[in-house]
Amino acid sequence: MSLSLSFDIGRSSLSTSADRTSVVTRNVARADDPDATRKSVAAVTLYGGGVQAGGAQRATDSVLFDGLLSSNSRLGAQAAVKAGLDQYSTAIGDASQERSPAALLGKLQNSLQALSVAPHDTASAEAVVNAGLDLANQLNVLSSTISDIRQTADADISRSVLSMNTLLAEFDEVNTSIVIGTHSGDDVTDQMDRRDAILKELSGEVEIRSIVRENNDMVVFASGGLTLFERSPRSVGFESTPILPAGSTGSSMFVDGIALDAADASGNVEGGRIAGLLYLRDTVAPALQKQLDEVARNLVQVFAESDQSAVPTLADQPGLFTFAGATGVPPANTIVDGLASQIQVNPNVIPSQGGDLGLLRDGGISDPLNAAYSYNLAGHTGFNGRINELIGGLNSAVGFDPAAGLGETGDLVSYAADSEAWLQELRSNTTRVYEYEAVFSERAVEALSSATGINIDEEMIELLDLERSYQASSRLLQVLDDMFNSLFAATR
Amino acid sequence: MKTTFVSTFSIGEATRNSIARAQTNLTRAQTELSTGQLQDAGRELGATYGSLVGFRQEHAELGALRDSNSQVAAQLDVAQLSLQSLVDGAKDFVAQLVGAQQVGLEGNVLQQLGEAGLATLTDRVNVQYNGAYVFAGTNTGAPPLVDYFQSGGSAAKSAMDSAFAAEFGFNSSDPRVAEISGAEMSAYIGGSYSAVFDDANWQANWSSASDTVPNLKISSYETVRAPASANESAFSKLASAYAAAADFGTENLGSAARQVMASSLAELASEAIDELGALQAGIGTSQERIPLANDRLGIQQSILSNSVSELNDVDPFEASTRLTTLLTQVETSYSVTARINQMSILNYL
Repeated sequence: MSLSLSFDIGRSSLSTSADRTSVVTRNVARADDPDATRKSVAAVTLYGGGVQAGGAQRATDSVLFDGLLSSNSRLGAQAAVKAGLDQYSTAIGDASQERSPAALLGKLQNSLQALSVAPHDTASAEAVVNAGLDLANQLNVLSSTISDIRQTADADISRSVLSMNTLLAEFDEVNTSIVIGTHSGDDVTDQMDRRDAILKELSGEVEIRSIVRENNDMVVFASGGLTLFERSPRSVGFESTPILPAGSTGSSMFVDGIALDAADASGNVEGGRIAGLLYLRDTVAPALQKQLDEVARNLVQVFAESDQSAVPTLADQPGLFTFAGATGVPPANTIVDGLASQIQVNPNVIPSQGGDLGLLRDGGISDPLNAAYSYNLAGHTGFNGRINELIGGLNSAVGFDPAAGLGETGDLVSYAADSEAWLQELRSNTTRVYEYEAVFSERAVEALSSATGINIDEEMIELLDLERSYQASSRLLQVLDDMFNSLFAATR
Repeated sequence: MKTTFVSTFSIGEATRNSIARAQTNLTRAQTELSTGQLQDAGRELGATYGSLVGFRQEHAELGALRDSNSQVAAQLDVAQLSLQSLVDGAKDFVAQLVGAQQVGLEGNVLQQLGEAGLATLTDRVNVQYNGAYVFAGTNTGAPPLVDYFQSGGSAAKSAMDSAFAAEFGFNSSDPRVAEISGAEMSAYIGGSYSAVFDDANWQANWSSASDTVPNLKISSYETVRAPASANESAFSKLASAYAAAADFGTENLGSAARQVMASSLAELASEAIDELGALQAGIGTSQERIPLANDRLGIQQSILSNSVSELNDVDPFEASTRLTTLLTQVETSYSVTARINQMSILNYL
């Protein structure tokens, strides 16, 4: 062992310290980046006693990372459904605001009750017509809110798909450089951070699973086994439908021609924002629409007028509540898609449109000129038989289409209240799951960051270590230099 | 090898999240404390929310019934008062007739009594409540009783005239009325005169009321009948007594006929009083049912209000305790955050 060998070792120690310092600097620089992982460099002892900085390693924890991805997906799905439900719930308003169809139906019934004890009173009749207008208007508004929710969801899916395609293209680029870098032994840790960050973003859109193969090559699957990336990105396709009328279904999201499922076998929403939006667009919002349509259809039916002749021959006609292009009362127990958006108060009883308020009491709203539909041919102003019949109609059980997801029979007000209960139950559940997932996701982020992230204090201590080692190596070199000097002085 | 490790990002994230969550809860607790109600009832109640909507709606429905009951009650009160006034008038009429019989009916006393009675009858039967004629059955738009004395003559008046002429062969204004004997008058009033006031003629010449009396709903399953229609025989009998006196109870009449008239008209009026009493009793029964129904509605309403507040209200003590706890929590979070951020090895290097 010669002095010059010690000199070499000292020099290698200096350069290793410098390399490791640069890694510490990289760590400190990205300490506040949630996607950054802690890099570390080990010193490798060489043959002959020298040291050298090894390849950079990044701290990873695949279990925590996968946990983060799946919690991200679930959170994305629940957030999408929750946003839609919140929007609809805001449109309905709180129970104390009394703007829901159930409350407005109640108001209509109450105004009819007031009219029934004073059938001659035009102010009471006007109150009934106004209550009817309020109800019809609110049904129209809610119906348009639903189609708004559906169309917004559709447009959001379209944007999500666009961003997925962009992310997958970037993923391709990063993945290729990782594979090449790994093959040639370069430091690819920063690219791997970037690739994980892309996976995090992707997991918000759809539920994904990833597998790492040789040379750090990664394969990404979506839920249901759809391949999103294998050596090259698959194209994700979605055709946005600008107008979604009630009863229609929008198009699905396709990967390589295979559709993504929005719900699992038990009907629960799958993970990912896109699945949540699909579920909202194709399951939740249409169910709400169907319930509204059933309320509207039965409203038309309860207020329908029948032929009052001794031998009735004419078909029933829509009375106080009618809809555009009505040619008769819609068939019983069958949903009429979009009826809630078309329901209106018959202009024949609206004074400002040339109508006659007295028709409320006398009947014949459907066709004031056809005496067959008049319940009060004598024209007595104290006649309240028809009004009592309407109140009775609102209180008695009517049939509903089971396809709307609520009961098959019941009175109209209870049905409307049930529909609200259905909505709030779903919203309450979704919010609960959402809040749980939000906390879970925060924990997942913290756990992953704690396992793989950077602690500045730690890095500073490391830096102190390196400084000491650098100082010691320098000192050693100086001592060696002195020894050489004394050797040279002795031999002069 | 590190056994416990926490990243700088994770420390910041944890304090940030806990502050954000506490602040969200804080705003909710604040609203709940100030309004006393759940900030988001739908979210808290879930499926039970339907009951909240149902209870509120039922409460409003009962309120509407109570409102309309006050109208029904007022209508019945008006009817009852009118009937009472008719009964009083008729009793007075009978008393006058009986009293006058003792001293002999002088001059046109009989006629005056009849005319006054008829005017009161018309006025009381044509009483209105809230713009509707109370005794009109369903035909509340038209005054039920014709004005007998209207200028140009009423159908009722001409029916009276022709019936008189058919019986005696001359008009009631003819001086020959003095020749009508007591027996003849008694036969007329007990016979063809009553036909002038049978149902068909009453409805054709006197009354435009409808026979149908509407049913008024006073609670979910109870109805009362609206006040009687002017087509009830009580009204036609009373009208017949008054009209006879007004029309041919003139001073020209022979005293025998006049005596007979006084006694038979007093009899007719007494019958009418009995029948009016029956109508009053009917209305009285309905009047009595309304406060009972209102009491029941009130009890139901208060039960429903309780149910609504059970679902929807927040215990103010609980809410304020929650608020205080949250405030402490947020403040603690702030100071912890500040101290954690000061804590760095850099301060000691």
